[in-house]
Amino acid sequence: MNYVEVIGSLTAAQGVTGNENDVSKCVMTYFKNYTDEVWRDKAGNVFGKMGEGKPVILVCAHMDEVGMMVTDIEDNGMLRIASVAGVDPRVLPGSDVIIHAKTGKIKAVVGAIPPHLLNSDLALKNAKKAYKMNELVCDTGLCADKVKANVQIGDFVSFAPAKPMELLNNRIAGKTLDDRALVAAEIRVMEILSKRCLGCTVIFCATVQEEKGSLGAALAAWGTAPDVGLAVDVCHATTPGLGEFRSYPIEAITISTGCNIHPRIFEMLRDKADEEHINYEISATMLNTGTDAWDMQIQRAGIRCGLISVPLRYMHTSVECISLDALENCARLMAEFIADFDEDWEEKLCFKD
Amino acid sequence: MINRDMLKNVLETYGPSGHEQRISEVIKGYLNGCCDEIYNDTLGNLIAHKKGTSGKKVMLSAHMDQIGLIAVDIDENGFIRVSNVGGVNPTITIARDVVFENGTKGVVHFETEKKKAGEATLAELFVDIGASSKSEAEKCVNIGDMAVYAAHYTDMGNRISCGAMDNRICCALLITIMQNLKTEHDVYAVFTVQEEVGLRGAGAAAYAIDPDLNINLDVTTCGDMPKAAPMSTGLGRGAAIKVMDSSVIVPECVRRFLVDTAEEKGITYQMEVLRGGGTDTAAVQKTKSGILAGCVSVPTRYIHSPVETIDMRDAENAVALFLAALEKKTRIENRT
Repeated sequence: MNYVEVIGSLTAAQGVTGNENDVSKCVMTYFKNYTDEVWRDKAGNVFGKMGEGKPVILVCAHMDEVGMMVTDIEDNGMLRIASVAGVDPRVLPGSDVIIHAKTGKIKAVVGAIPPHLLNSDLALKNAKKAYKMNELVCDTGLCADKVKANVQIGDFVSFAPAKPMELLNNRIAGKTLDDRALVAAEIRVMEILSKRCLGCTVIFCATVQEEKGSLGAALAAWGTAPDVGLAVDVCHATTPGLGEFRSYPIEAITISTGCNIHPRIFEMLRDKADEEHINYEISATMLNTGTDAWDMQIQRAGIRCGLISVPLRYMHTSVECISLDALENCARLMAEFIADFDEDWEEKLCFKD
Repeated sequence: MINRDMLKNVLETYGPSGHEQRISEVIKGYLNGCCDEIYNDTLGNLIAHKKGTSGKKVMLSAHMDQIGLIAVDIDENGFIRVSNVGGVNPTITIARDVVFENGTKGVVHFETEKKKAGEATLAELFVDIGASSKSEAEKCVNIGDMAVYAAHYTDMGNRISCGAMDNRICCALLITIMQNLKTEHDVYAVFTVQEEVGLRGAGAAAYAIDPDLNINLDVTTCGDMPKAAPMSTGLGRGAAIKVMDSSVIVPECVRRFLVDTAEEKGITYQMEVLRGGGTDTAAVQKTKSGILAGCVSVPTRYIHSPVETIDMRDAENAVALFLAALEKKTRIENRT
């Protein structure tokens, strides 16, 4: 599997939180390469099932992306926008975006006041602080009448798709690597496992609405009632200006521990990473991991959860940066972890006295 | 279509989160005779069921609880210290009259030694029920008793102002909808408890009913007052069809169904994108393996104050939209 190619087509598809239809079609196409059992649930989560029998392992990587929504149409045709889950208004000026209108896709830009004109008192005051969401306008270039005829309040707005940039050291940069890179890793795991004999059932899931409270993972876990839930997501890579304790080397992957994580799952992942000589760090998160694992854990009568993360720089911008070596290590660890389950799984997962 | 005497009665009835028995009884009184069964569930949600023939279950919902104050301490001189039940703004609570469940009346003021009214926190507020000692106060109010803003119903013609408009206006709408309903679907009208303290009632009702579709009714904010925070909705511009708030993104198929219904029937509507605030829709959507859920809102000015103001024409439009939507036979499904 070629990561750049798969990530390229996954990130080119639109899928702002709450409107993941386009990207779900793309994910289904890839999942179908490795299994016939591919389906979508009511919420829009995409599933691909391999193997049979107990235990059932649910792997979740979210396919939604941060984006925006039209909140108002001004008399001059400019659009006001709000963040749909986590867009940073500081990095929006200078972005090209797509309005997903009922009548089709409309290109637009989010602009800013030119530096030359920052001499009035008000503009100077504004220049000293970052823009807030309600100060930004989205410009389609269309006249007001045409905008009003095509765009409706509530239309989704996404970053314009662009091919991921291939940087040095097998790193890539682009939009929506959070978390489509990990959806690509799921597809890679399917490829690895399709050549192996599985002693369990694994259900790969590309979840919806992780960025808005993990709605998709909660519903997926309720619907599939797995014995083990494994979330794969991104975490923060070391970046100049960021405290080390909150970030991890971009070449490493992280294995999480904390109250969101079942101790035996953590140990199994850690031991497997040691065995496979995978470069990893342990991430201790005492409360909410901020991932699909958090909501999965409390579905039905409770689900044992694990979490593997791949460090990423510049999260929620259109130049998110990730290491493909780390991504491949994450896929290898997932595959070996899943392949390790067989009929004595209950023994493996129970607490030792 | 909406009976104003009924609305006034529903608005003036006591019922903060967790203490919805009185309002539940009042609503029940208006539903007798137009439903096949009516009951309260374990948490206190009031559920009115009207049987249908299509085999499809539709859950309509509106929360019946209101925000309030809870007594946490009574001092030697009979002043009652309070904490909030739901989103209470201390500044606008000062100099208001409040009422407890047993009818005890009181007024709210604050510690004036160091602060001005706009600066006081809830911990610096107290309720004066007219008692001159702790023992006298304790004859009327005990720790844990809840008070609500006393209702002052103001009819301004098309527009009406009162406390508890959030969300009793929608309770009145749901009563009107059930009284006039023509549908082949199995309809459950749920008057939920404890929305104001974290959407705690609706999920349980949805779990038990397991509907094919939920449409919730709640209030939403307006941006059409002087220098208001930006918001596209305004009074008199129609029923608001929710797209998103901070708790939920309504699935496109549900939103589209409501918009199409409004356009087919020429019902005035506006789209709602609410930046802050959540509704029961979110709790229902997250139930079991997911329930299709949407929301129609009544635009309301000054939410969570004793002068919440609505336009009856928006409310009438919302009723018309529900009745038209429920008369339809369309199947709503997420596209694949």
